[in-house]
Amino acid sequence: MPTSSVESTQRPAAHLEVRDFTAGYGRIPIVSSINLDVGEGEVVAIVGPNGAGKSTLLKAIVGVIPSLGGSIRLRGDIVTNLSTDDLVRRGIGYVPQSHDVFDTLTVEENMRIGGYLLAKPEAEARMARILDTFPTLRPLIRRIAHKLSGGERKLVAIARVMMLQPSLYVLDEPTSNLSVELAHKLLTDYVRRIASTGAAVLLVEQKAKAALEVSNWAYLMVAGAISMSSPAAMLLADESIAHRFLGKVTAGSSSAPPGGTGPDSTLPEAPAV
Amino acid sequence: MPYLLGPSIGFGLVTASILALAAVGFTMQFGVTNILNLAYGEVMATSGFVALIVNRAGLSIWFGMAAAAVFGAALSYLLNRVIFIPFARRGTKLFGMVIVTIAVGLILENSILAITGPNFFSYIVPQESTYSVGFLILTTSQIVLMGLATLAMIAVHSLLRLTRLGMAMRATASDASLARGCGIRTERIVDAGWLISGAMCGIAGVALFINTTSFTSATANSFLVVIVAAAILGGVGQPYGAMLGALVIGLTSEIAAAFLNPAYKNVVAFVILVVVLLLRPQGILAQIAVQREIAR
Amino acid sequence: MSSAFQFYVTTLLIYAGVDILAAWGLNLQFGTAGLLSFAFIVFQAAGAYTAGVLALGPQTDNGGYQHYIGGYALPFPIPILAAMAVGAVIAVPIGLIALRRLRSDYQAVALLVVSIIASSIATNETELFNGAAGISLVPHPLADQFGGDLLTYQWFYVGFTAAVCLVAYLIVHRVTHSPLGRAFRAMRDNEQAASALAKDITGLRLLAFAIGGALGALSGAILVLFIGTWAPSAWLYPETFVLLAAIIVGGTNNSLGTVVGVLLVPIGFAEGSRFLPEIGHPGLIDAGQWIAIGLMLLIFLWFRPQGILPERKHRYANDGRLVTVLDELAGWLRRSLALIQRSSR
Repeated sequence: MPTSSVESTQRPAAHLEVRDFTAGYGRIPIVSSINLDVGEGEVVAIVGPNGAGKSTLLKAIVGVIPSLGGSIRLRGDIVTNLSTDDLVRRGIGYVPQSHDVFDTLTVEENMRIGGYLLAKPEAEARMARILDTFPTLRPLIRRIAHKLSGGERKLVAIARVMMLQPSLYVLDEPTSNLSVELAHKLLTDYVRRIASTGAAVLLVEQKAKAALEVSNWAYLMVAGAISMSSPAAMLLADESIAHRFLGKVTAGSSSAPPGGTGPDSTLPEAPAV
Repeated sequence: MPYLLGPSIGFGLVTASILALAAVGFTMQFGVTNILNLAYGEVMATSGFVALIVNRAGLSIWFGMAAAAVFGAALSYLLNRVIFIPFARRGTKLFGMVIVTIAVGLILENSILAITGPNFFSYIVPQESTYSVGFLILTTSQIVLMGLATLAMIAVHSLLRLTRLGMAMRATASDASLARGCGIRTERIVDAGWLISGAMCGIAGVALFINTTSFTSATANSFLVVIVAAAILGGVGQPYGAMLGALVIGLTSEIAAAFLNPAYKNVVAFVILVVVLLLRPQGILAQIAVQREIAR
Repeated sequence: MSSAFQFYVTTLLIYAGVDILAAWGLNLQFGTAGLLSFAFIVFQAAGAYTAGVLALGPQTDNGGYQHYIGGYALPFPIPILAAMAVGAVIAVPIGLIALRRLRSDYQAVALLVVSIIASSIATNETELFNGAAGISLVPHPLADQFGGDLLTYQWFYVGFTAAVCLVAYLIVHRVTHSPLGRAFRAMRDNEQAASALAKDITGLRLLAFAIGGALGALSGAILVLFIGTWAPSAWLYPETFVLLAAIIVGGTNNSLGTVVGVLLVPIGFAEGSRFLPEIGHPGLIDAGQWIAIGLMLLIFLWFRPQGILPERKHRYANDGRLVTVLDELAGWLRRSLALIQRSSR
């Protein structure tokens, strides 16, 4: 498969550099020879067909599964094979695809644990600020997380990660359990809002079109390897690629239920910032 | 009737106190590490025999209890580090881990038996006075045990609700992988979990042996099933559930012993457990049933 | 052979047969279907009591010194068949208590509790099975045919036990090699996947429990009709661990492995220690035995968790036929021949 790279666009200085990276379960590599950058303040999407290894790559980057080769640098420091808790201390905020909240604890406790590394007054201040940003979380604050809807859960997961104000958000299919309309809102509104704070975002998405629309840069992943690296807009415009690898690019928006009120329609209205 | 009910409630509260010490330790261990440690009874027993040595050396049994707490913590920590974690790394799952803990238990219990022989032992406890509190009549050591259990429960509550360590323990118990994603060094939290629960296990072992007055190498193990029943009754991994379970089982078993047949003391408790399992498999207090992998 | 030695050997063989039957039953539940069946010994007990009280005469016999229900003096082989039926039937309530929606280690504890409840009831309800003393003087089946020739009877019973084991082996083999056996393994390996295939998990579990329970009960019946007595002390819950250890050592979900495990663990240990000199205090050798069993479990789970004879992966040929040992042997031979041919060229 030809690897076409478009390097004409200027990218910001690299925040995360993944070089010749290989990872998998046990000794069997699922993804190999990955080269990937996330620039300062950039939103970067990894798109590709099901089973391409996108989530595996993210898990290896954030230290959930061990890497089998290659290197990762964060702001120039080598962080290859550091454990998740070390990476979190260095400014990575990871939202897994599922099991993304502490099910047995309340929303408030979830957020407090998110601020585990902070001094208490600082944690309180940040929690207040996040609740101002997402006022719909306020009435849910005492609810057990396991009783939340899909949209509310994802919001709690993001709010929990925001507590540490990471410099890089790593989001694994944040919209996978949401209706199309909610997914769109999450990507266009929340992800943009995170980016506007100056943090970088690396996200993996099935709903490729929506993801590409909010991203600056995109990687196309096929069969465990990066097969294309280009500005997101360019990938979005390329009909043939969309057709070959991203079957869902156009299907995504057309499969929206009329009115878009799925079971997860409780994702809160985004307030004006 | 009150002349039977009074004492049995008194015995029930004492049993519940010992049970609470043991079951809260057991359930914390399980909650944080996700290992159902069936060697827990034998750790109680070994700690109890350590206290016996201290006691025989001429020190008060309360010093013995302190020694047992330290020993129980150290032994639990070591068992986890030397045996359980290596097995978990090698891919032993929940399933196999239960058998690993049983094997460890067999080795511990029979090592004591090999050293002590099938004999009965007793601590030297200072002259007991009896006090009547309302309709209850209690001995000094019974009152001390109840006070100790109450203190321990308050301590556990404060730990879990008010401290950073407690918060990290609850996060690890809820989802260890996600806890790491919040910057929590879960392996240290798991170590802390083994140390704290091991100390409670040691204290509970001595409390049990004080209360049964004479004991053998097998005494604690036969009590283990009652402990586990109390823990499951409240919802495994739920310290408050274990306290409630201990109270329910402690009281019903002693009242049943007084009014039915002393031999059915524990059976009544177990029947309650079975009924709870049928109606509410996750236990009384648990919101949802846990389904996780071993934490390390 | 001296007759004393023949008595010893025959008794040992019968014990081995009983343990093998029981271990196969447990293996079906634990090894094949993945149920951590810590109450297994209850099935053996139920079988032994059922066969015992059905074979015994009325409780007024022998001066009425023991109390038990039943006492119908039923002829061979009815007590054994009834025992198996009881074993299968009690699997249902036990299974319903423990296996519904509980995760595997809870199941283990719930079943441990069931084992202890059963044993306390048998001990304390003396009207049921004569309490702690247990039932005794259970008549030997068909003993009158041998006119008091005890040694011949011993050999007859060895043959009978062996025949029962053979039939049991065929049944176990049949079950594990059927679609049902595949469903059991699927349930063991991945419950979610199995339930996604619309398999009725509770039903499957109960079925595995019932078949294993019938085998366990059968082992109890064979044992009680041979030794003539049965009491709560014979079936304390650690006995289940001995069988479990035998299975893990021999090879989980491998019937022949289970036999090897039984010969090594319960039979080997019990008999091995018989020849040790009496050292230390009474109970020391017992303690040593249990320590050895514990160590052996740890060593095997660490170095060879699959056991001496690991589970054979069932493979299916392109035409859907099960690939048997013979096929594999033939294939191996073919490959070896090809290799020899190539290297000689």
